[in-house]
Amino acid sequence: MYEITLSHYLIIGAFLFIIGSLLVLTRRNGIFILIGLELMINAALINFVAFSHFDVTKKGGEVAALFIVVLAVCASVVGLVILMKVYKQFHTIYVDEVRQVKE
Amino acid sequence: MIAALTFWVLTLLVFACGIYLVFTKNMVHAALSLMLILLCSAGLFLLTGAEFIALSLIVVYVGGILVLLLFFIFYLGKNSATGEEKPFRKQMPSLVLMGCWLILLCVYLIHLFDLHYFKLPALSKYTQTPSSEPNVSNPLELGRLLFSEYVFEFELIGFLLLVVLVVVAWLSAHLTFNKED
Repeated sequence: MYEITLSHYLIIGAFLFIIGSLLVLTRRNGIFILIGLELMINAALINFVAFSHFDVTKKGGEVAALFIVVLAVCASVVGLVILMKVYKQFHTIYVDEVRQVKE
Repeated sequence: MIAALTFWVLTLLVFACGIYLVFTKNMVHAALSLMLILLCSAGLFLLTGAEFIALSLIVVYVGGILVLLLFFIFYLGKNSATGEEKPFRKQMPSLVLMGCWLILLCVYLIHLFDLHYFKLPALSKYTQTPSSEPNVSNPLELGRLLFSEYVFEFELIGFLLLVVLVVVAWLSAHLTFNKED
C-alpha cells in the first residue's frame, strides 16, 4: 500500500490510454478527438518516465519523454489549424459532416 | 508515507477527471479537466524525480496547447460550444473495434497485477524499487545526456519544429477544401 511500484504507474498510463481511445473512437466533435489524442500521448509519457525512474542503468526514458512533448505539441498545433480551416469553410466542427475533402 | 499519500490523491484525481471527460458534452469543461489531468501527471512526474519533464509539461501543455485549445473553443462561439451529440450513422464497426480494444486493455491490466505479485522475467531488468542516485540533480544529468549522447536526435527535433512552423503558416494561409454544394 505505501510502496509505489512500476505497475502503479503503468496502470495509470493504461487507464489514460483507454480514456483517450474511447474519446477518439466515439466522439464526432473535433475538439474531443484532439483531447483524446493528447490523453493518449500523455499515457505514453507517463510510461516513459516511469520506466526511466525504475530503470537501473540510465535516464534515456526522460530524454524520450522530452521529445514526446515536442512531438505532441506539433501534432496538436497542426490538428487545430486544420480544424479551424474546416470550421471556416464548412461551419461545423463535427468531423462526419465534412463530406468532401479534396484539393 | 507523504509521497504515497500524494500519489494516491493524484491518481484519484486523474481517474475522476478521465471518467468525467468520457461523459461530458461541454467542451470548456473537457478542456479544463484535461488541464487537471496534465497537472496531476506533472505532480506524478515530480514524485518520480523527473522535475524537468514536469516543469516542461506544465509550461508547454498547460501554458501553450491548452490556451490555444480554449482560444479555439471560445472562438467557436456559444451556439456551437454545447452542441448536440448526434448518434453515429455508421457506428457499428467503431463500437466493435472499441469493445475489442477495451477487452485487450483489461487483460493487460490483469496481467500487470499478476506481474506485480509474481515478477515475470520480462521485466526483470527493471527493479520494483527506484534506484536513482540523489546526489546528481535531474536537469543537470538530462542536459548532459541531451548534448552528448542524444545530440543528433536533439537537432532532428529542432529541425522538425522548424518544418512544423513553416507547414502551419502555409496551411493557415492556403488550405482549402472543395465544398460539395
